[in-house]
Amino acid sequence: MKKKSRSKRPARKKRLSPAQKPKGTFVKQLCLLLVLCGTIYIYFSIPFYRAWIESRILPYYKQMPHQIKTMDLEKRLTERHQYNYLIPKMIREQTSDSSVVLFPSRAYTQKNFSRDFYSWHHPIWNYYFFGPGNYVLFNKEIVQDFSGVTHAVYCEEGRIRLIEIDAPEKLTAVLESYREPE
Amino acid sequence: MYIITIILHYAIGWGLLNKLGFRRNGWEIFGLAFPLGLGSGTVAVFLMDAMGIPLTTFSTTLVFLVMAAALIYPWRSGIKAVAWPHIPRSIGKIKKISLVEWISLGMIFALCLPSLWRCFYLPVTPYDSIHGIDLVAKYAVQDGKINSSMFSDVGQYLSTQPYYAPFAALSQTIYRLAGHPFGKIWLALMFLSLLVVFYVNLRKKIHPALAGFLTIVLISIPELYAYTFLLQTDFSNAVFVSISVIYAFRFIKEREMKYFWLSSILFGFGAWSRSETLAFAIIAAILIILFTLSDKPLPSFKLGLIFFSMSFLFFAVWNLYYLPYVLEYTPESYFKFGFWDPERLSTIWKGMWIILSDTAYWGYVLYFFFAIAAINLLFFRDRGNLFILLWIILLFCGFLVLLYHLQLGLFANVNYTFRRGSFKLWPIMIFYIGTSALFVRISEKIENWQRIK
Repeated sequence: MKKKSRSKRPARKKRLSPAQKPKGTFVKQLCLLLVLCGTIYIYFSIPFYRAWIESRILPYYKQMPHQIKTMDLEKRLTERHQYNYLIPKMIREQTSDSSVVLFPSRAYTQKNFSRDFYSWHHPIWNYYFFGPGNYVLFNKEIVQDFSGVTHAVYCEEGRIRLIEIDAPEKLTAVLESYREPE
Repeated sequence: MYIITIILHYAIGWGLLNKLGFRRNGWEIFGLAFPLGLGSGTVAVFLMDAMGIPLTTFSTTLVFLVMAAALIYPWRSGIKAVAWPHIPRSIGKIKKISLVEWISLGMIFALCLPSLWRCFYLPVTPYDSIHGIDLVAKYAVQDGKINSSMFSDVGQYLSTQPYYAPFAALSQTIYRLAGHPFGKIWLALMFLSLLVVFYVNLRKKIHPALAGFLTIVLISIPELYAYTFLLQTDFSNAVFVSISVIYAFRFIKEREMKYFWLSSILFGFGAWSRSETLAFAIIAAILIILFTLSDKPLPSFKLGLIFFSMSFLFFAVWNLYYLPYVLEYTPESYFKFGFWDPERLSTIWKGMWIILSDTAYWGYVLYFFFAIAAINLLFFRDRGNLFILLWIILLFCGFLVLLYHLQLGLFANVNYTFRRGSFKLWPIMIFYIGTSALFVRISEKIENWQRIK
């Protein structure tokens, strides 16, 4: 009878004891390690990359403990988007489903807000966060009928306000102020 | 729940790799599985939508489960037929990782961690995503279909963003359905996959210390790093195209068909993530034909055609079927062909160079690349990685032609489309540096020095 071969696997390599290992291997590893650490150190000492680490990576690490404690979605949205989230939220809270909200022109928001905080004035932005609503975007190039507008987003003394349009004069004043900076 | 979805995407990707014949390297499979699995997952979700199956957490998970089972389970030949990707063996290899490699891997992890965390933690921020990808995804989740009520509700205010190629929007849909509040956790895994594949492939060619250092150089490209956690279509597109080009290069070198199939599928997913990738698929197909022409047994033209067809299929499904017939939108209106405007060409050319040479975006990688390419070509006269170099040059030229015909504002063309589109260039530039004769020689010297008793 044929004998079954036990295994076709190649024999395992014998593990070398520390004494059998070629001398200097650890020292060479250490040298290479020092060279690599030195190279990485030099690389991140180049002013550009040092600035990147200091302005991006390190602050991100510093923010982490606070972020781990702040897992609430509402807070995360507010901290990230600031006005761009708070204003749509205010509009949603202060208007009913039948309200028609008029948003200012881009030029108006650019004049009254810093660059990072004027994405909110677009109807899509509001729709993204809070769903369907009667949003109208002021645009002088497209002839629009603003007669049904019940609310307008208005900036007064640096503060954003949602004003109710209950008289034609109010709407005229709002439209004038939206046009003004262009 | 989204952890299960991630595992299922890994399983789908692993199953596909198994079918393609990838068996040996567990880490390579780990790097490749997610992009492949997620790409296939988005195609499945798209097909579900086309067949009228509502997109819900249950339906998508079930489909992913069936896909994973169909690809992994050995229906015919028993469990032994499954080619397990030697993950236990690869994990066993951790013990053998040298001190030097640990340091570079530790540094890579330290640099990546904030990006991975921010992907998980921060809400979707970019204007384009809120007006496009994530808007589509959020309402697809709500309505259970891609063509949601959003397109009619705010149709008059929509720009081009919601009509971008569907990969990112569908990935967002999948992970929002899976329960992640902002969806974009998949972006972190795409970043991780790129790094693993990049490192594993460089490590095959050069010493781990050099491969680790070059991976650090890749991570520390500021503009690229920012988009690893800012949701846009460009970064995922760069991941697909870069990995595809790396495997096309391996196909050219090793002539193994599994690399060709992997490369063409990934390039297809590239076209699935950004439509303009189709133009670059032509370039890649031509390069594949050129580099396999001398090898008689290989049907060069057939390979080139297959490579291009794969991208065209993905492009056509979205741009020639879904956009015009389902969403009733015509994307070709932004292109104009058959005109000659030297001033426009010159402005775009200058603008592209200004973007590429801006160190605030890319650090010193471009200059590093030029220096290494000059040494490689003039000093060593090495043509070993000519494929990669030609790809970089032709990709740049391809962008020039594309932007010339794209009828958007020149400023937007160059500053947004090209700046983010060039994400595809940088990993490949660094890969070129890593595979250059100079780095291979340095690597050999280090290894010989380590071997000498």
